[in-house]
Amino acid sequence: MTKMNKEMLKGSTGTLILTLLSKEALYGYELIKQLEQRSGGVFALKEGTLYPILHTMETEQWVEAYWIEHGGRKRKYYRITKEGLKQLDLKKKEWHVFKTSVDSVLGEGGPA
Amino acid sequence: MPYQDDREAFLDQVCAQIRATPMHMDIREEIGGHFDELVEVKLAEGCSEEEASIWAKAQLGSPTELGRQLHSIHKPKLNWSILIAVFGLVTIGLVGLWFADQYYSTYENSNLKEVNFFGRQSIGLLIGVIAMVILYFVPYTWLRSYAWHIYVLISVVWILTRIEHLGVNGYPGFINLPFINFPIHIGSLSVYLYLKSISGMYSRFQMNRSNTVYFYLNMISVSVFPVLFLVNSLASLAIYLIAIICINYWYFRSKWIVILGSIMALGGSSLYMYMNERLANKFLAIFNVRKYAESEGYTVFRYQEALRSAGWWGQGNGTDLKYLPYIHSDSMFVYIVYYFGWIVGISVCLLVLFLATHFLFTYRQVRDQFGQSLVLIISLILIFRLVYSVLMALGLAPFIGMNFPFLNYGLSQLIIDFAGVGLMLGIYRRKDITSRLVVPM
Repeated sequence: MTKMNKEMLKGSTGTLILTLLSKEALYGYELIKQLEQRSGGVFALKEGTLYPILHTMETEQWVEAYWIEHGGRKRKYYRITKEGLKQLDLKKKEWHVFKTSVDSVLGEGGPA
Repeated sequence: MPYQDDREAFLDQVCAQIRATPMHMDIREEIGGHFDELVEVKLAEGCSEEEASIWAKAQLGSPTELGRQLHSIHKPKLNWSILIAVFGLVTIGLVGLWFADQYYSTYENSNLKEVNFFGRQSIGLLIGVIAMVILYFVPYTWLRSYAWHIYVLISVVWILTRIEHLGVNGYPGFINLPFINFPIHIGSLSVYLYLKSISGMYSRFQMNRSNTVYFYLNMISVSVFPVLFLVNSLASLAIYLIAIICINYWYFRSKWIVILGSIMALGGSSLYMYMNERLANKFLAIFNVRKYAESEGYTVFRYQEALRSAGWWGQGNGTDLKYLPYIHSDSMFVYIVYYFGWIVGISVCLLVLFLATHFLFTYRQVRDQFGQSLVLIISLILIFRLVYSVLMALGLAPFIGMNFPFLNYGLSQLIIDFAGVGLMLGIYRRKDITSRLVVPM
């Protein structure tokens, strides 16, 4: 993995991708569309960033890929693995800790 | 149509950065498809092809940057853990052989005296490493392409051993090459080759989707046929049976195969042991060492004595040494523990465990099905012999003619095992640069 990919995986983008894939198997184009929709247009992930992340996740076996023929074109679908779900869980917990500590510093939100 | 040309030009730029050529097809299909969908969206909005093409390229970003990132992901990888662990075992073995040679030179029994096991094993190591390197770099898919050829070839060799009496000293598992006086452990070699070629054949059939009864019968006879040859070499037979049941289950995913195969294997071996009393006694010897101490259990008895008195740092040239038969091969592990102590003995056991674990990791990380099956085969063959050898030395398993991979003296075995490791390392190497779109037959 290049340094950039590692950062990407550690960052929130990787978590968002894993979340989407935990709900259903998607291919590249669909992933970008869904990310845009669900974040209300805030996250517009560039395709150039998406594919390195997906391929890295595949090597790490957080997702597995398979090809499906669709109207003369072959699409590479990605589906989350058990290991990927574990990673997602870890990331969610990390995010929660981060979120609560920022909130308590800002003096907002409920009990830490 | 211009936008397709733009797309191809874009993809060319991406792939120019990616050294792993087998991945190009997959990447072109995936990113090219994305390009097309982006263009289609814009065309539906009423843009011209040129505008759509420009927009799509903007969305995808810099092709060289994308290519570079993908290149850093799809690279060949070397599994250092396996390599280091294997060399660790070989080194301990060589040290053991060095001291064994010294011991033999003081021995009265002359035919072990001037053999120079250390020197021979070193040469075997050299040839083995060459074989390993060759198999590391050659793409393993050739095994699938030539599966039938290999299967027929090894069967012909077996038939010839029957006719031409190429066997060595009555050892069932060895043949002698006709012109060079070099015994090859044909039992071990054929187990590797049979299993790999059968896996290759299954893989090809699976891709052709032949699911008829005729096909299943064909496959079953292909699996059972080698048993005829391996019957004389008990260790090889045992490994083969375990592995072939695993491979059949692996491809067909039917628990009936496992049940049926296990019953046949157990039934066959029980029958064989019943007809061969000596063998049965060897098996019983582990349960009651004293009773069989004078006969088949003698070696086990001696082993236990040696292991008990070894201590942490070993006894060196102690008295028990002369009771251990063939310290350079059969008794190698016990000899090492006795001579160098349990510290070294436990290190060997840890190396075995480490190796087995990393074989398992390799199995999990390889995504190509055929490659995975080969990793499974090689792992089963090596792990069975590694673990069984330790258990045999500890008196926990019946004594059969099996060697401790990498540790024992055994030229052809060493070369064959190194070849197996080379193949496994080669499969691991390609795990991230294997196309799953284009499958070479």
